[in-house]
Amino acid sequence: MSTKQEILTGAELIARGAIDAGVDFFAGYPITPASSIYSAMLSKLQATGKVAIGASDEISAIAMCIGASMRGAKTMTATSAPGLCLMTENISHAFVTESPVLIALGQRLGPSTGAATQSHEGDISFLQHIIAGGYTIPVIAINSIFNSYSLTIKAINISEKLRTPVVLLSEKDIIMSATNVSVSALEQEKQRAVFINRPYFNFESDEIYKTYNFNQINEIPEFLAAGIGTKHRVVATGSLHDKKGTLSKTSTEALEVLEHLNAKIKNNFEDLYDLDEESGANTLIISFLASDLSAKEAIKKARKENLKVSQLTIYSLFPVPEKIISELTTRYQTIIIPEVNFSGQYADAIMHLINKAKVIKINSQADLIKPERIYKEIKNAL
Amino acid sequence: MTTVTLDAKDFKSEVHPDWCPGCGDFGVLNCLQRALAELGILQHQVAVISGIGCSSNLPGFINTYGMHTLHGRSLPNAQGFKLAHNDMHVIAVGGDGDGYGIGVGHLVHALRRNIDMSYLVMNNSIYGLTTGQTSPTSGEGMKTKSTPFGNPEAPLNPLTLALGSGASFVARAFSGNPKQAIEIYKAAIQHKGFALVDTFSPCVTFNKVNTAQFYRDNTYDLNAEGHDPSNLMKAMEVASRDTYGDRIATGIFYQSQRPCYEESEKDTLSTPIVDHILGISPERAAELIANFK
Ligand SMILES: Cc1ncc(C[n+]2csc(CCOP(=O)(O)OP(=O)(O)O)c2C)c(N)n1
Ligand code: SF4
Ligand SMILES: [Mg+2]
Repeated sequence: MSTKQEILTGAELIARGAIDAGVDFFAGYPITPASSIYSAMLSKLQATGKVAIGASDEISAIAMCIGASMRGAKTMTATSAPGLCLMTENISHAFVTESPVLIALGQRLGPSTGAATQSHEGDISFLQHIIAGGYTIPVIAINSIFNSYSLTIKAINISEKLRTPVVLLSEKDIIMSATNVSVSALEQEKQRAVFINRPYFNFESDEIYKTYNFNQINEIPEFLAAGIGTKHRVVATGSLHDKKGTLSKTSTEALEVLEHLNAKIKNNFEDLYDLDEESGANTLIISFLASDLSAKEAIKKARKENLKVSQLTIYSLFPVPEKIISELTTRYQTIIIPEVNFSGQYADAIMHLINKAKVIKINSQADLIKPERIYKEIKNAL
Repeated sequence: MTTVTLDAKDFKSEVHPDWCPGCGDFGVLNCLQRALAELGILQHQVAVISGIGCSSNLPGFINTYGMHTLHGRSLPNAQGFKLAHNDMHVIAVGGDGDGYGIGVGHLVHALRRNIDMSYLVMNNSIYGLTTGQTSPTSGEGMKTKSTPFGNPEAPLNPLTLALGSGASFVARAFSGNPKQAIEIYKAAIQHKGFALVDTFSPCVTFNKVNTAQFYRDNTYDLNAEGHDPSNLMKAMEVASRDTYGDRIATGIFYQSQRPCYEESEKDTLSTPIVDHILGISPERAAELIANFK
């Protein structure tokens, strides 16, 4: 086995993951810290002969992706909160038109222009409610530089499989920091990875093609790229529509399409998490994003001193992995949730699932959470 | 009545500019400060309103009212400000990315709306703040972080865009020629209507093509060559011919006296909203109350 190491940033690993997963269209607009992903995609993707374009703003960037997605491309953009605000209308549009697109979001301290070079995990609530009408899009959170690679592949797979926009959530300290990565470990990740494409409609079929067709409410409509073959007409719309994509205000079928948008994600989504349970522990840490690393440091120290503690690392923040959270939390007395935002946004999003256990939020505004703070709470809980 | 005469240094704020040493924006700031002082405008009569970018940090460095808004949104903010307070001088400032890229939609409408204000664009043909990506005014073939294999797009021509969008004042300056820039800024501020001044303001850190030396070598003053700024077609011709390449025109290209927005909307805008008397007259109030009796 090779011992070769490479120094890589999270952004570079996201770009590698995206390219390995088959992304062939990137459009973006520079913004710190997401520019690191933008630069990596522009140099790497263009070098392979695929499309990578610097758009004139974020609205154009994501709209270009939606257009390309309709033509069958695997698409991706990257931004931070100010750009996400501008993309919001188009994200809703991608959601309703069932267009796969990956939005890599590198968080920074907000609101408004905020502080570009300060880390934050503060866009969680915004993402939970980003689709008007109360729908959920998948949000996949990266917890380490190394995991940036495989989580990007997973996020793209979800986007394709479910025909939906997906947010790949990271933060400045992951995408702009570099670490040494074992080349063979990365190769193993690649070997292990599966690459999923959206379900395709057979363009030679005599069946009439409907852009948003399903039999069961939770089925994913088969995709046919506009311009493939001459038999079928493909139409997309963000206005309320029937299965064919014809404008239809409140027909039973149109309302069924709306219900389907929610059901297809809810019923087909596979929760992503890691569980590190220690027998006899009464304290559980629920962690994600870079705060997960702070928690791991704290746990290492605690376990050295024989303090018992378990950890649930969540990668799929949304849809909320309700089953594991509600089952697991009944077995613990104390739940510790560290996150870099002032109110504990994810803690609030899952609070209703935690029955008896005491919840301790550990928060900070603009700096990563010091492992010492988590360690203290582990100790206090005993 | 006493008159106060101000000096350029009276327009200095307590914050020292955070621009790289040698950045063209220093020149723009100095010229703007001098133009205001020479026009005898007082600090409280001016608002400088920007978007986001290195250049958009300018309101922090000038001792006037200031608004640092969002990337690409200086113009709608500035127009709203001006409409609510039309007895102030409103000067929007920002970069080429801010004004000709993400905010270009606002520019087109501001030009045809023709509100009485000025807009100074510090054009360095690059996104400076985000450390050097191609901007809408970067030349074809230019290699930057966002175009590692060379820029495939044609640059935008801000002057023909403006002239074609109903502009009433269009000029171009160069931060390395302060004498001319000050005169242009003064004319823009005094112009009754929307005045666009594109100013070459080289980024010494990320643009090695559009340097100060490049502009020193390749610009000429079209007004010194007898250009008639009331001739729109002539302005169009010069702007499209002499914008990129080795003969670049600076000076006032075009100025017309078409009525500004405030003049067309005299009824509503003759008194600043902040000076409007709130509520209704006592007589009208008594009448209304009587209705409920
Ligand atoms: C909505 C949004 N997208 C992106 C950014 C990041 N950003 C800040 S300034 C800038 C470009 C600046 O270029 P320019 O306007 O030419 O100003 P300069 O720095 O060159 O003076 C970008 C892309 C942002 N602040 N907000
Ligand atoms: S990066 Fe360029 S535009 Fe920004 S301050 Fe430095 S020289 Fe000026
Ligand atoms: Mg610029």
